[in-house]
Amino acid sequence: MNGFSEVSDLEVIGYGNVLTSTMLPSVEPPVYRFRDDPDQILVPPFSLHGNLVIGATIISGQEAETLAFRGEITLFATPLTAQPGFVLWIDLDGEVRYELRRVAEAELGRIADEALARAEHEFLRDLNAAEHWSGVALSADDRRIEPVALKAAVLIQRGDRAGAEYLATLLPPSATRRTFEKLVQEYLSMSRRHIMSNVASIRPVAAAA
Amino acid sequence: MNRSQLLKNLDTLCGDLSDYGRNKGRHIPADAPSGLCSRLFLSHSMADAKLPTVCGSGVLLSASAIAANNGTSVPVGCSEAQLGTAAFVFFYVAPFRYPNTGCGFLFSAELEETHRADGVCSPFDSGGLVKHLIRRDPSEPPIAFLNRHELPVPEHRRYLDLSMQLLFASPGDYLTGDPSLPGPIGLSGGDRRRWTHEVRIPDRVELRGGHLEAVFARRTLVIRERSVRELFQWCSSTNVSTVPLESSRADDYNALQTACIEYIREKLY
Repeated sequence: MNGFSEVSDLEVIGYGNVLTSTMLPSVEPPVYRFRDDPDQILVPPFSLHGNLVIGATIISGQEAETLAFRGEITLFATPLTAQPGFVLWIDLDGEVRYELRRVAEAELGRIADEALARAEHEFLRDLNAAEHWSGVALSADDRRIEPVALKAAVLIQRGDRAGAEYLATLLPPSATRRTFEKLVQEYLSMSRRHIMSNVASIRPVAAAA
Repeated sequence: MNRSQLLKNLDTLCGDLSDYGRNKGRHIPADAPSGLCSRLFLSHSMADAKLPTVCGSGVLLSASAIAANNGTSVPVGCSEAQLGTAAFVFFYVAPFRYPNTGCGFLFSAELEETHRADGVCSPFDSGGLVKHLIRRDPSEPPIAFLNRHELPVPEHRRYLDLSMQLLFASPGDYLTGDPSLPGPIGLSGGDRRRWTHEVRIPDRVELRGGHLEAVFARRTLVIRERSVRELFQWCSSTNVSTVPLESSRADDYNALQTACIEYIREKLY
């Protein structure tokens, strides 16, 4: 167990998790190593306070390699210079991003906006795609309630009411169940309206026939 | 190793620890609570990528079983192969320890009762013997050292109870702190895993086998991954606790460990 280390003495050699493509984008804890002692690896859990990494565990380079081999952590081919105030995250393409927190937050917010818009668009056409994009929006910003509500609407459309009900227990801390239910109903109404307008556009053809 | 040898090891180690405590002037208070030790959960954590598969299959598998399923074998250089432990599923009798910060399972102590005949414990992380832990006598092969310290389940908790009372300023420090005395085993280096009891159960442990206490996973993972959500749904219908975790947004990468310690304190204190 390490007390604290200065970020400016470190480089980032990986992150303390392994992800699949369906879990992206994702903010992850860096795995650090000392620049002047590359066999001293700092692994999470820990917290960052300004230029300090507090409470990390120090392991050897060999153990880090073993953990990577076992699929417990991910190591990079090339290390990054560790910087205070930076966030490590993995983007939708699986690329590693290491940026100032405000830059990362802005980019994740943009991804969440775009993914949600795409999910809402796909909800009227392709439930699988809607489910995927609602998940992307949620991963990009898990404080948002709309992706959860949209996912619930997808489950209802598929006949999985129990699954949709369960999602109501998984709301962001700031969200209320009432808002969630209202949003789900809005998405379902949107779908019904879309179906009705499609039917309406078919009728003249049928009448003409 | 047969159970009678494990019980002999237990008597020897408990005797050594009692003598050690006495020599250090440590005494077990008459009102020392023993509930925490006897009920302390077994933890098993993993990277997020593995959770959907585990939830889908409903089982934790040993390294050997996973390799066999993949048509491979356990690499000869890994610690489990060197120590002959590859056929076991590993647990810590403790909160989730490093390195996994993603997700995890807690099982009740009763899981050990059902594995009296084939479960085994060591009062340290066995893999550390071939990695970061330093033995007093480096000429003794790690596997011989391990064999001398293997204990029966659930009786190893008698040794754990002694350790918590004699080596720590307060028994609860075993969960989150460091011991105030190193103890007689003669290991140094490494981290908390040096004194964390490791329980090994052969081959496989069923998630729905009646001993699952709690599941911890990122909330986004529960919502996105169907198999994870279905396990959470099952848990909520069977009185198994579920702990959805928020993603990190404030430079705090302790969410899993913190939630686990809070859960243990709420349930066992």
